[in-house]
Amino acid sequence: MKAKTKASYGLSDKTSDIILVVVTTIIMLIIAYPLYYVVVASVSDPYDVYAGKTFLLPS
Amino acid sequence: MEGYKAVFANSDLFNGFINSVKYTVIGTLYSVITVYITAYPLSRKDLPGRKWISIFFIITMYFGGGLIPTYLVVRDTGLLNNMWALFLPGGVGMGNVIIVRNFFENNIPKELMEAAEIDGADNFTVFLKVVVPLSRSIMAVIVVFSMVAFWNDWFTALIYLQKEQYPFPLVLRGILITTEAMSNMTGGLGYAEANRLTELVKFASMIVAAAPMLIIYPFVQKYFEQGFMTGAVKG
Amino acid sequence: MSNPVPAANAAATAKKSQKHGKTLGKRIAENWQLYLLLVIPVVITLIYKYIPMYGVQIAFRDYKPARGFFGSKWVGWEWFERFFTAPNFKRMIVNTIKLSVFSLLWSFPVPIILSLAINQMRFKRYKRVVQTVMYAPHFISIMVVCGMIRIFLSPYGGLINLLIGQQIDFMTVPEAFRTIYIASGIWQDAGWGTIIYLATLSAVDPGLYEAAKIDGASMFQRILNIDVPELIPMIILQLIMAASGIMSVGFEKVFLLQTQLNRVTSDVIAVYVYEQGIVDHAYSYSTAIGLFNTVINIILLIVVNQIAKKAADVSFV
Repeated sequence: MKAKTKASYGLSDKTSDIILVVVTTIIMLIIAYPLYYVVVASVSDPYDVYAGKTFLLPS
Repeated sequence: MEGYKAVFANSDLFNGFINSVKYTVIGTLYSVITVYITAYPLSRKDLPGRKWISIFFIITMYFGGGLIPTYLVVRDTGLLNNMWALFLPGGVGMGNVIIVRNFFENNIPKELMEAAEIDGADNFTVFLKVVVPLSRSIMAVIVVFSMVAFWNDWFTALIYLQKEQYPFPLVLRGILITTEAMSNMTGGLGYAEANRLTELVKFASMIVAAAPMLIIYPFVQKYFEQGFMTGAVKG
Repeated sequence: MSNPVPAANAAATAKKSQKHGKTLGKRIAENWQLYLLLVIPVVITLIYKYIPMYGVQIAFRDYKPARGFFGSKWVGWEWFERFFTAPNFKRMIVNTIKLSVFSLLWSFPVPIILSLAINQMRFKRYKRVVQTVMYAPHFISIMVVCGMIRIFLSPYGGLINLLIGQQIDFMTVPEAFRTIYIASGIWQDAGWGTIIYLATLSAVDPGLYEAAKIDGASMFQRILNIDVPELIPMIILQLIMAASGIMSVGFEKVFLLQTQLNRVTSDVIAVYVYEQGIVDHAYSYSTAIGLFNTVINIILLIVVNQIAKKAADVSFV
């Protein structure tokens, strides 16, 4: 059954799209973070790593 | 970057890395060849006995001898401490065979094969000159999956190989479990420095172990997604 | 015997001649090259897959290398009895089942939910990016993953301990083992698991979404009423396959995460098979345990398959 008229792209659609993007981005970051942490750790001073100073950027 | 330099300066890790490269390249070659020479005949509907031969192979997907009987056969065929113990006991990789066989059946136009046959081509020629070139996308998938399997494998190496033949993941394990400084790298350094280097090498070698495959897979992502698509639809 | 060709009786030969226009013998001869291609795979499979199957019989024999599979003395159920009366038998079975079941419980829904969400994404480029990132952990060796686990859980500055301000060595805490195992399993395979579900969802006619939107359905409603029903057969199929693997908790990860101190929860059958067989060379004993495991798996597969057939008309076999 083909729809003859395209459904309009309303406000509630926009909000669901934004929520979707936000949620998937968060999930994506959670998945990527452990790997990122190890990459950062491999170019930082290990003592900084174990002191927690490298959770975002290398030292 | 000194962690990475130290990784390759360490003889154990370096050997492990070379071993892994060796096993991955040869294993992937073995894998692609065996998958292709199994899948092609099985994809030819006019092959007498095709059904029974398929069953012969498919049974091995569900039933097996188990860890010890396989180990004993490997030992009895003289493959202990031999690189081929990493490839042969896995058989012909039936999962891949089915994917490739389905690809041959559904994605290679029969007209092309028939035209070649009319031109006088025999089975080998059709296979090599028509089917193989047209199956580049699925071959890429098999290559990547095989590479990943061999590059990441450590268990078969653990049970069949000696320490000098260990691939990278197995050497990595040794490093991760020791908590003292690794003496063969840190001979001239003070205690604190030695520890620091050891820890750095741990992180760096983990990235060295993971990076190659992570870099490769995105290139074939589109293809293996498609492969699963046909698999899901056909069931 | 390397190429099992069915014996053709007169009627079948005649039928096949009609179908293919040639006699069976001629067709076999014509395709000799294809059979040649198959020789190596068949030989490899015979030696490394079928002979070990034949070797399973040592589960009932006292295998001695000098006497071979068939020549070793028959001892019947001795090894099985030894297994059932082993001191850690109950612990192993309980641990294996608990690990499998909880693993299934927690990690099964994740790929499904993720795929439902991703399927609704309208920005194609970003969708690709998200998927690429999601697949990444699957390609990382379990060895590296366990290395990462040790680093994050390290009592001397591992991220988790830093966040909670303690110095707990989680690898030695039995209660933590299952959580570590399951959580890391989800991290590694949830993204990859979405592939099969996304593939199934791609079969949905986009017109259905349009029609639903016109009728005023919100995204959530669309997911619930269009996507979920589409996925149900595949979900059941995946469930069947997962359920039949309950008794075969993978060896690799447990072995890598196990320590002396968390064996209370981490002692599982697969590791025991390895220890007894490869490390202690108790070949027959180890084979018997493996056989026990396999038989249970087959029974489970059949049972779950039948249940699914009756309840939802979906089956694996």
